[in-house]
Amino acid sequence: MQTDDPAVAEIVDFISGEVGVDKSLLTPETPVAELGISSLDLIETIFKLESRFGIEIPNDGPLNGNDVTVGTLVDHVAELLAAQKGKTA
Amino acid sequence: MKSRVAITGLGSLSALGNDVSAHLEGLRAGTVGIGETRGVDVSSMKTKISAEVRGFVPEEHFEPRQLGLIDRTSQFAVVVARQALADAGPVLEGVARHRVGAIFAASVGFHAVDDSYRKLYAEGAARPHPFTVPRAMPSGQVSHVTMDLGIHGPAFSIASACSSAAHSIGTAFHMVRSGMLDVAVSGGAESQLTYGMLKSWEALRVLSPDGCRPFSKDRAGLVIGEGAGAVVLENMDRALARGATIHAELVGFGMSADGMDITAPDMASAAASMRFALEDAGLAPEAIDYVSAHGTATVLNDKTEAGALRLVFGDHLARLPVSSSKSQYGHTMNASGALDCVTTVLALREGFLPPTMGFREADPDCDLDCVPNGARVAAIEHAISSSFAFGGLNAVLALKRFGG
Repeated sequence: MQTDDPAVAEIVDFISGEVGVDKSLLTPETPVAELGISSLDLIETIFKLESRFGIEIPNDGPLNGNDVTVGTLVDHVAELLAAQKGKTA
Repeated sequence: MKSRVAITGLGSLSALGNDVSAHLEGLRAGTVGIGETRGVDVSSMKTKISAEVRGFVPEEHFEPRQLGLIDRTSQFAVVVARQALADAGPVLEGVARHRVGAIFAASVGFHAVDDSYRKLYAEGAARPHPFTVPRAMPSGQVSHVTMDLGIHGPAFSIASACSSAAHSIGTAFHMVRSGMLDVAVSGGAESQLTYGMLKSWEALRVLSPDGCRPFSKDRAGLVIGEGAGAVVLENMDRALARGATIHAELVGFGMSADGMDITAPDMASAAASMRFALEDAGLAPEAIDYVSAHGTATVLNDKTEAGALRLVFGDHLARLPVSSSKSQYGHTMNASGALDCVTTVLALREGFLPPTMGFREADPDCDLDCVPNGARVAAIEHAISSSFAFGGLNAVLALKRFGG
């Protein structure tokens, strides 16, 4: 999770705003559950990330589990975003 | 003085077959009714499987003029109610009209909603089917049952998501036990196998792409099923006096609300509902010989349910078989409590343990004898059937083998 990457920073900003958690708490190793983001909140956040960035986050990807960290979430979205930009470029 | 309550009629319709004898045969044989979805175009979906009712021909059960008014869900309800009543024999003869009731799950007629909204939104139709409202209304199934069977006493629907049918049967049980009713027909039907609902379930990220494996470490989520179950509950003295065939005795009903979360289950509350059912039945935990589990095969449900069973049964759990028939006929949602009740009655009557199919790998979080991958012969005297719904609404039925 490269926080100096503008794409990553944008994703972190968006998640921070959606879940109401200060950006400084969104460190890569932190499990999202520890931030008070339940599995249901995560599903909704994934849905909002899909809508915001125009990507599709698969059901059977790395976010399908109960121990998702902030880093896993942000990196997965960043990868999908990069892949999509690669396609449209 | 409480009356005893006999179960004198059974009806079922599921991916295992379209009547009770097919259901029994499927349970015993370990048939898995889950397969590629045929009734809905799933080409745009990741999840291609479901547990459909196959070979159900509405025209064989209903007049053409009825069909425009009755959703697939209500069709199922009427058919299983007819089966249960036929099975019970002349149960309504000589009973005052107000002493026969019908209580069924409240299930939206999703096929009516899906068809009509598609025409409106996607096809630009000026108006939907004129009977969309009566077909979609959640009380439709119980209304059709009363019309079809000629029931004129207390009748209503109960909505508690996946516990709806168990709450319905439990409430009907209370009404017969208290002496308010002589006979009740109860159960539930559900068909959410529509394009809109399958897409909605997929969006919730709880569907398994490749089968239903309750309590297995590699379980990957639930498989949507459709179907219906019904029972005829009857005052025991009356059933004995008329020489009825008694399939089993309903002896207890326990309920609780988690009051916590709209989807995630709560262990203590699930345990409380099982304890209340045992208390209501006057049974010690050690008296229970079989548990028909809610067992949806989501990671969280099964782990929570196993923990709740541990809280209630303690060391007895090591000797207590617990299986999930959802591995065979999918998660039939509002119908599941009724189908699981029928399953449990058959297990008691026939002396066998229905299996948990699809089991591959033991999970330390679900340390249970889940009767993996094949039914077993076993003389069982008492059993419970658990329903733990989304939104934390729990309903547990306690049943006893009828020994004359």
